[in-house]
Amino acid sequence: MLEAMLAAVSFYLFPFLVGRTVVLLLKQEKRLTFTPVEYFITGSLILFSLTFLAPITPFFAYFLRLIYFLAFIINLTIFNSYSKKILKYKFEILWIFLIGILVYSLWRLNTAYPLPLNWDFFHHQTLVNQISSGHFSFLTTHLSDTFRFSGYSTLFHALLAWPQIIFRSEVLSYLWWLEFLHLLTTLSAAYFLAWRLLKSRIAAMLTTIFSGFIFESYMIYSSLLLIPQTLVAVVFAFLIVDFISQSKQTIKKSWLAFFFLIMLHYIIGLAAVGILLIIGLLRLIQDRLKSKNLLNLIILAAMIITIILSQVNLPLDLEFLNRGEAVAFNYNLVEKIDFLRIFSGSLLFCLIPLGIIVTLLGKNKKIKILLFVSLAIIGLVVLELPYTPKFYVLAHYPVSLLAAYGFLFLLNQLKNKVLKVLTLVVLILTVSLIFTSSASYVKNLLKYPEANALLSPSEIQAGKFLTKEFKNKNVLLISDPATQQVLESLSGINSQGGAYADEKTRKILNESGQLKEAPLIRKNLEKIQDLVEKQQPETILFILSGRYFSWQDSTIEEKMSLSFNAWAPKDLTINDIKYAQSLDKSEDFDSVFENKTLIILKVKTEVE
Amino acid sequence: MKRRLPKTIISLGAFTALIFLLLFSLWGVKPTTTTPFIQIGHFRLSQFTKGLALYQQDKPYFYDLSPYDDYFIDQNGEYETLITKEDIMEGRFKINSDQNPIKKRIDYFSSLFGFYQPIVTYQNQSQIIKYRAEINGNSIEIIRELSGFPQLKQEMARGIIISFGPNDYVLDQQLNLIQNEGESPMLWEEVPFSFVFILNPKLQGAFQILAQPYQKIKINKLNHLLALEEFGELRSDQLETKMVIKIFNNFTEIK
Repeated sequence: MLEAMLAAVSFYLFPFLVGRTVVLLLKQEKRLTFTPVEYFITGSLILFSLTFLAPITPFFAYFLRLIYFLAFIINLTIFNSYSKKILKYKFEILWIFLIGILVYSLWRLNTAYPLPLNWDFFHHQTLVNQISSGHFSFLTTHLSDTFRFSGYSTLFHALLAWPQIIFRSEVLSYLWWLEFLHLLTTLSAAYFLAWRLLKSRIAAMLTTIFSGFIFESYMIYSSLLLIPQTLVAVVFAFLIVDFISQSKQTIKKSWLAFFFLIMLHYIIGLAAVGILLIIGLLRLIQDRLKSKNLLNLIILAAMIITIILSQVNLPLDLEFLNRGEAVAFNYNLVEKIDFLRIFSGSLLFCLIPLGIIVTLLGKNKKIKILLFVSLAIIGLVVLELPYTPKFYVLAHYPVSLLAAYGFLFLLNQLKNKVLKVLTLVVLILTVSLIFTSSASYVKNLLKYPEANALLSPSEIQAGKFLTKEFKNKNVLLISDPATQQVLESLSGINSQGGAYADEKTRKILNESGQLKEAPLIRKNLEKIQDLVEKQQPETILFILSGRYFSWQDSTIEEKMSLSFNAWAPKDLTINDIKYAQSLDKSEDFDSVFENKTLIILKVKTEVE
Repeated sequence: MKRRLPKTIISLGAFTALIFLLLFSLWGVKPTTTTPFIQIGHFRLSQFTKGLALYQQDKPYFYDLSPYDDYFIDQNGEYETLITKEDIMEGRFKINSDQNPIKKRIDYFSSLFGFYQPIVTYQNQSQIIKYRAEINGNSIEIIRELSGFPQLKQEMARGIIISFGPNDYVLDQQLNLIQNEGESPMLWEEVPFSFVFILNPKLQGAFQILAQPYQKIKINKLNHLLALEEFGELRSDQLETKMVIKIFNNFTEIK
């Protein structure tokens, strides 16, 4: 567990130390003031360029360890100026930890350590496995056919890979701790944003509460799932403050941050950069014109535009987008409001209007700009186009602050300390219930048998078996998309597309489910071809899992859909076992592993 | 005094507004599941208007415990269900699953934390039928409470029933198949064991029905019903009847 914790901390610490060392050694610090986030960004980009050496450097792991060690020693000795500063913020650290532990405990309630709740983690880990084995490319699509569309560079995967390469830690434990740290960073970003803009500790504390407990449990996942767009949002939240309190330095040094954001996620990163530039422009106009009501007018205009955008319905044919998956992720305004009710009950519906009124009536220009930022993002979110709710990830922090601002207005009317404390206690109880309800939107799909998990211990056991017996061999793993996704990432054994298997593979799998004769099934499975690995596999493993049979029981539309999966692990039923036994008895398949969740059959080749 | 009074009023007003706001926020939560449930192994237990039911997520197989099936047998051997078709048609019984919205919210939130207790009550002017469940590990004790039934004071057998599916296997203690042994001329026949297993080939795991020493197991192959039947004349018109169901997560556990 200690290794996993250290590896998780290193996700942030390693790039930070490298960035800080390089900046200080180049004496850039004297010309520009760097924040810890900017050191992290700088270090990440330096290390990312070094990762291109991975395929040609046999000692890459030692090389990374050496860099980490040197950066650590240099920061601890020559450039040690943080240790005293950290002590000044002990209350803040304690508060963020307290909220973090509360939220994470509720999130992990009924999920055994270290089982994951992040589905996307599996396909990201597939790329990490590739990087760790010495393969590297700037494009995700060149490393694995799990990615058919390059929505981001491999920067995020390199960030995930470095600590795994350095510490060789167990992957699931690493992810468990990493997501806890991700939650702490989101809470820190929320606290920092509120503290810098409102200069009020209670406002910052409230913002942390809203940021932690209002969990967007569908498509967005700001605070609890570490995925490229949520990392973009954390960095964006830290950068907003710089842009709102703009100094001459901000623009000078921001190109690096812009590049980092776009590399992490092309679309969300670009949106974040666009919004930061708009903030810069707004500050410029504000400073030049010195008009008292200009900001209020701009905000009102933004509100009107947002309302108009919410009513726009573009008659587009979306079938061509992302292999038809886009249609499943296109929601109208009513559906989006329903999602917000799942995430926050009526809390945001009450607090945001209050926050807007208090902002408009107040004199704080910075918070007015932040309100504008929120409206600009919400304008994107309400557009009836596929995936637009994903932009909300950028609004998470401004919206949490506005909700806190509205709540603070009412709280400030309480003159009695006991009533204030009582209100805060009721608030935490309420948001805990709202959080648990929102989290159940994800967790209800993941019942196995009583716990909530994306994985079963039996699947972990199968993953270990596959790694031990077949790692670094020319093997193709075949099963339903969910089993492929899970076992490919756990074992490092290749499959065609993981959860994103292409239409041809899905059709072959569907046909295989309807065939009765083992030789026909074998011949059918042999038609499956990986899109990246062009060499014919020497061994084909056909995995009959509870998930596989559940997938076969679905409709043809569901089987062809990328948005449908057997999300939770499933044990084999009597019918499933009988079917697997019938194949095992044939001359075409050999059972090599079995447990209550799955049976692994090795497809016999003609020669055998 | 003049200055303090308005402050107190404002303070109390703001406090009331905040508490109201927070309660209203909870009220606005869109439930992520339409039916609250308690999870036992791979199975879920919920209350429906028809009674309690065991089922698995996303699977169309329900194992009902319902007053529409439970019965008395009179001296002539005639079966009489607790609630008749006429009772249902004429709405003679009030069912608690048409509960008030506050209770529904409480059920929903308690279900999220695993504290939910499914209870369904049927009530007319003189009679009450209540089904509730007590969970202990992987065992479910279904308790049916009857009140106001004069049949209890007569020498009549009474059965508590669980339904099963047409494709299910009912296995005896030695794991031999019971229900496919050929069509019986009798509607109900006794199973001479103290427990049986019910197993659906398309579901994960299985469950066992255990009879108490004073109960006997009967099966109705035609209608796919399994009963625990007990006999005896009571002094009261009130009675609690139990059905113990043990959940198994996989077949290794059964073996």
